[in-house]
Amino acid sequence: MPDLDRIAAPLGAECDPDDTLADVLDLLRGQHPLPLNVVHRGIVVGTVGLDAVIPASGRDLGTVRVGDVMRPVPELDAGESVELAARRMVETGASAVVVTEPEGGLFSRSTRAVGVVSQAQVLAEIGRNVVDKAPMKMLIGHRDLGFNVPVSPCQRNCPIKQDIATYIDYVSQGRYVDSWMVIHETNPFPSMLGRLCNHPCETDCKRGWDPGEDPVTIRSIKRFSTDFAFKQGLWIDYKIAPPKGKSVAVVGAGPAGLTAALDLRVQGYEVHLFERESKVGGLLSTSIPPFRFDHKQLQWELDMILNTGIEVHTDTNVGVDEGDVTLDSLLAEHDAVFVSIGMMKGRILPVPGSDAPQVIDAMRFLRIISYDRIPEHFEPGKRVVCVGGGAIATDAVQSSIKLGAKDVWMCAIEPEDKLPAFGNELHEAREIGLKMSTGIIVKEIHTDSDGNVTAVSFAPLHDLEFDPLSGKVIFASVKEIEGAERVTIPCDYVIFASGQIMENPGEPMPLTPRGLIAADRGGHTGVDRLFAGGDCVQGPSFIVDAVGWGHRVARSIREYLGEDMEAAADFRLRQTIVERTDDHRQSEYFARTEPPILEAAKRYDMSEVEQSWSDREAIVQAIRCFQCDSVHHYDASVCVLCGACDDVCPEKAIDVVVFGEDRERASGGDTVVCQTSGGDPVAGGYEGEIYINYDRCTNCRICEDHCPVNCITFERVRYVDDTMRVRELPELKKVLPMAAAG
Amino acid sequence: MTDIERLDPDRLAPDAANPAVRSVMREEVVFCLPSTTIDAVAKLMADNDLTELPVLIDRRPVGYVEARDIVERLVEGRVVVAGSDVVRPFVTEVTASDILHTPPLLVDEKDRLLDVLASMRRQERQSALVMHEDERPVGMITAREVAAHLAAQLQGAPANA
Repeated sequence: MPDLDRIAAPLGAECDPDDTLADVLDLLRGQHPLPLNVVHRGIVVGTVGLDAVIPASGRDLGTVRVGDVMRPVPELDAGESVELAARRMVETGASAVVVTEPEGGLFSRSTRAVGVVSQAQVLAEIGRNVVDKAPMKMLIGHRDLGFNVPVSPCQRNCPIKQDIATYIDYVSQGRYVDSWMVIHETNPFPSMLGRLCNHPCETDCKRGWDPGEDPVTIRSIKRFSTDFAFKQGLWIDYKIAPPKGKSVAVVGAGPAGLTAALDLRVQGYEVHLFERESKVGGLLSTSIPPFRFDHKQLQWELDMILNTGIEVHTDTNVGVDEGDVTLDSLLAEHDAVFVSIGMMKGRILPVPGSDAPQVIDAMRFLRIISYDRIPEHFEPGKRVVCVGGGAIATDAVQSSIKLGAKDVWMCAIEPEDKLPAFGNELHEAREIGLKMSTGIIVKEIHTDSDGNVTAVSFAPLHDLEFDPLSGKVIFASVKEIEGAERVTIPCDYVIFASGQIMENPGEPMPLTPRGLIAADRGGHTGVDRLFAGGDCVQGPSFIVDAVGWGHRVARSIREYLGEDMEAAADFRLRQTIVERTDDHRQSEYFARTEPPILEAAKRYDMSEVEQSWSDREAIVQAIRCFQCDSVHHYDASVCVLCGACDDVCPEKAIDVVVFGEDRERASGGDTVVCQTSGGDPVAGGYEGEIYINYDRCTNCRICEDHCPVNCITFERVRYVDDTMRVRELPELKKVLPMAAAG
Repeated sequence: MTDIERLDPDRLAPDAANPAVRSVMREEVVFCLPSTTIDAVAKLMADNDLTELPVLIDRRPVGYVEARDIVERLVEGRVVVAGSDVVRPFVTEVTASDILHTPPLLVDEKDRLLDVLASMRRQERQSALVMHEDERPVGMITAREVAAHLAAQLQGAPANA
């Protein structure tokens, strides 16, 4: 056990019991956290520390005698243990012990004080055990703490730059609400994106870089946090900036429009949201069937956005038809107009028979279902053919089966392994009876004498070529096999999921030759005050891309309206948070799992297919994250450039470079994490730097474990602009039965 | 200047003897989580000259822990000092939630220092957590800051904590 003489501090300054606190205040401050020794007639009779100041602060410190506020101070031999010192402090109420040594001869034996051990030193000794030494601090403002903060690959690849490593770490620590709040910083639709995102983050997860390893299930962890917040009945109130006195019209209440509307509203703009449907949400509300997600959660997220004071105009179409609001009138009434109308009209290929009453496009089919209605001419027990192989087609065929169709076919030009639909969704559809025919192109819809659909015939195709970057079909390669027999599938109902069209909102909107809106990545159309973004500019894409468009265009509009972007954040509390990252050393024991899905027999209604994880499973999956945003913080005042971290790093991610020495530099990293020197360079001193390759580092912390001088810490630095306040909303549980059940 | 600053009583009637805590506070919040082990809490206290440490969940204060409770756990053998002859690595199972005290002492950053000190004396506390109007902690008042202010008052100079 450590002896007291090893940790004892010199006795330091002294004072007399008759001194006042005012007399010794400067001494106390100078010696803090060590207390001041109170000495009377050469004997230490007590100690007084800064802890005496607050209780005495109600009086004149010049009248407070040290002897009245001092604490007792037990004596202990220098050979005694720290634990015994702690015991004496607890027993006597002392904040320090005086360390003594024997002196004198055999018959005149006495002790003399040689030092002092305070409570603060005992705490420091306990703290030396700690492996994780990261400070836990919050600082006002966005501080440059003098070291590089790496951006994790998943975050780099995310269109909305979600702070993924942080929210996953919070789940692994059981901080689910924290996690949900971090997600909400850039993502107003986590319940949707937790289920439906195409998760480009997982594509670039460092865990998946290793052969034989799968990426972290990032999307489903997001869903878990959101499910938790929903079941707890939590609600976010956004802090709204003082009014800017400017008004922005947002046309189209889909994910892009709503995101931009929220961003602008939070900044103090008056926002008018125009939506031609009778409900907001765009394709989330009208094109994605309920078995994909919980519509109550969508409504919860929409309500949080609209509750900020966005003026909503539903059942209001912006276009050129009678009764429509025109773009010109919006441009005249508002300081800026953002058009995010998506591509909401389905395309029906003009093949013979496509004008039959039982032919419908998938967008319309799904929209009707979203209003809890059965599409016209659709009858349970009948046969359905869906033309197309994408996500919309999968939703349409699954909806058909769940509405009672008997024989449902999906027919696509792509081969089965190249279908644009998500593989898991296709698998789910097949489990409930979907039949597929691929590599064929629709040629004709057959009808009977009454004009009702009886069959669809297809022509087989040669092998297709695909764009290596986008993975989409190169249409020039679509060629029928001459003379091949046509494939004819009998059916009563045909759904075309063969692309979507943007409906032109009218002048002065500039269009591209493809019929999309001409705008740059920031949404500038070249027309004064007119911005556009989302699918109507990019073409059909993913929900997360639309949210990214919303953020970007909101920023463009703010810049256009002359906002000083730096000053604009001043109304919010800006903080830099430094905290430890969780220890995920055991992560390699766990394999990737996906959330459970309802068994096939229970999937013949509109119940949500994908189920939520248990706490345990979510934490286990979160632990798999490498925490790539962790900062190696080397304490340059302690590091001796010994190279132990470099030697033990299993990923070869660290280079310790000592100037004048021939050390191998193999990590390829160029991020300097430590610059230090020691001793006289002429007489054997050293000077050098440490580099990290953050693309290689897996945050395994073996370097930290092996550092002989304990100078490495793993920490996370986060910058937060506070716009959100979370509160419990008890009434949510009453309104939404699922929340109560949770 | 924001509306909040316009309404700041310090701007209207500066009072050097009794300033708003915002001008005296330590402009950082050192904290731990309920799940933080007490050896890590001890290190945070030692590194930052604190005898009380706020415990936060979701950046919301839920309580605080005291140094003397950690020293008591050392006496009980539930946490050890470095270099002790207990077989290492010793991982303490005691966390901040086990020694949590409630409620935390929260003060508004616009509160006057003398009022805050009165609250600290009444509740026998050595620290207070300074809160922003956004319900987030933004600073701390401890004996160190109070002593700096009082020393400056005694010398008739502005405080420099």
